[in-house]
Amino acid sequence: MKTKEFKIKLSIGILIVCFLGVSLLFNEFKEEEPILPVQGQIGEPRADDVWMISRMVAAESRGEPFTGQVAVASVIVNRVRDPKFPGTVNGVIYQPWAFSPIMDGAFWSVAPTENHLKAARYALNGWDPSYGSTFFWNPATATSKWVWSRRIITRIGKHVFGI
Amino acid sequence: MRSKNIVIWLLIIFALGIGGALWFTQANKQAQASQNALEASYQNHFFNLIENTENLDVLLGKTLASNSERQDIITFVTVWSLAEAARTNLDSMPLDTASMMRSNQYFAQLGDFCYSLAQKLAGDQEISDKEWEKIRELHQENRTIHKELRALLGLVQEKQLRLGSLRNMNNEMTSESREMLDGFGKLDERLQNEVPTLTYDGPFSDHVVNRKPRGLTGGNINKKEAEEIALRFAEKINKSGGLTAKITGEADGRIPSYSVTLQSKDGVQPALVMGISKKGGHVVFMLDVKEPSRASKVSVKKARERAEKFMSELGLGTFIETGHIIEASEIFINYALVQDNIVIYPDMIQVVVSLDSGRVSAYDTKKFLLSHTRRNLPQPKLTEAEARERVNKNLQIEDIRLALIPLGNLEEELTYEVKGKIGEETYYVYINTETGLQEKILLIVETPQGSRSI
Repeated sequence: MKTKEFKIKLSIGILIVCFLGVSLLFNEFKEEEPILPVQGQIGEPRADDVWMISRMVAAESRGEPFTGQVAVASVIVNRVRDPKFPGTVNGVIYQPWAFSPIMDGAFWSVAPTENHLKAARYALNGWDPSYGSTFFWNPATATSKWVWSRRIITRIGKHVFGI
Repeated sequence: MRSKNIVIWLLIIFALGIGGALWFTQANKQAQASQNALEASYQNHFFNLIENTENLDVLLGKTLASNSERQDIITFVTVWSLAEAARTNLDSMPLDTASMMRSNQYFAQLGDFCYSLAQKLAGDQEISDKEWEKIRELHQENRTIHKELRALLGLVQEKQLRLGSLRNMNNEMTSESREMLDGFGKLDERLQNEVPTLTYDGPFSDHVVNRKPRGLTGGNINKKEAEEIALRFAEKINKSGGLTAKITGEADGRIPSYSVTLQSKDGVQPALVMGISKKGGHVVFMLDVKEPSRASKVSVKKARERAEKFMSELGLGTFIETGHIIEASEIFINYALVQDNIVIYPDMIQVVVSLDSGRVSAYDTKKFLLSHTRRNLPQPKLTEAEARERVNKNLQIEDIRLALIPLGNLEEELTYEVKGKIGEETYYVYINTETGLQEKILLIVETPQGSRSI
């Protein structure tokens, strides 16, 4: 009888472990990564822009040279100034289906490095190694054939930049 | 004993199965709710887009019927805000970027154009017959857009098309979603073909968007020369010795350029990247690609002195600092050209000094290259004393100087820049030296990192 009791206890134990395991799995999704300190007060609206652009840079230009990262950031800034695109940084970044890191959620899970933040700051201050581009794509992974109809401005690392 | 064991295991499996099914139903419900909420948001924007174009139609019609300039000012400013709202609605729908660029531009320019007309009226200027003709055209265009959007809305209202189905990962499409996307595509194409270029006094005007650089002087240079220019420039920021320059790319933008990368032979010194214009061999920008450190070993005063020395050695003219901001361990300093003791704001150059190394770590001269030219500046009609009279009585004037400021339409205006305080807040007020009218007000926000003007 002792073994039977043991087995019941064991199965309850297994159940609890399973339950804990499953809930742990869910907690993992909810786990928040530390967010870099961002202060936004009147006159410092760019703090939010740096936060957003650095995330997009981190998600879109992994392994790219620093100039390429500034270029990706400046594409976002160039769009804001172009009447053909939304008029704010958040408008450009969150435009439905415009950027794949928003669609696959990488935008929220990346951890931007100092360089990504620096790239965002430089682009917002006017540095533009993309020379006015409003599109960039990676020829190896680009799914849309349409982008190739754009005028190519320059190439940096794995990315092609165009308008 | 065995059978009891089996019963226990069956129970466990049964419990897990029930749990799994419950979880699945719950997750499925959650996913559906999220999708529906998203669909509601899309449709909300679609309905707003249509309502906004409807109101734009009414307002544009009213300006054509109106005989009151005062009321026109209000109507034109309202058109601007509604057109911007319509643009936001359009940008919030899951369409193809390709098929909404011209439509976006249409709304942006419609608003911007009407805003420029409101400014004209506010400045006691008349709207020309040509401009009224443009308003008539835009009114007609807006009516057509409204009709086309209404027709597309029919797909949602009668055929239960969900906007969420317009875009999906595997490009599967129903005939209705195809029809909707094509509809927006055709609208965009029609605007591309039918709407003429709009030239007016606003930042989205075609002549501003397609501006040509004024400051690109000199003949064309070759790659070898570009490398030499880059190396000589590196000497100016004390990065000489053991550097090699290599052309790493070319750019075919507004300022056609060579990209030059400078690398130290030993690989210890971090690399510099520069853009050198093909015409004239001007350094368009320079970037130190080193990862920034958090250390600040150099005082702000020292860093600004370093930047000042660098600017005077460039040989581009006399410059004055117009503001700086500290970001991470770098200080960004803005310089404006000074000509005949007048601050030329359009001709701006930015210099970054590292507060870690005290070196010039970045440089950007794009604005200067786009706008610089030797200007014939008029004698101010208004005296300084008269300008002081023109500002708000509550402003405690601290400083006044002549400044050439850029307007949204690439034009420039000679003004008195009056710096003053109201309470704790600092303002810059710009008084036109010709008309005595107030052109612009900037609020200066002081932060520990520097000051910003907004």
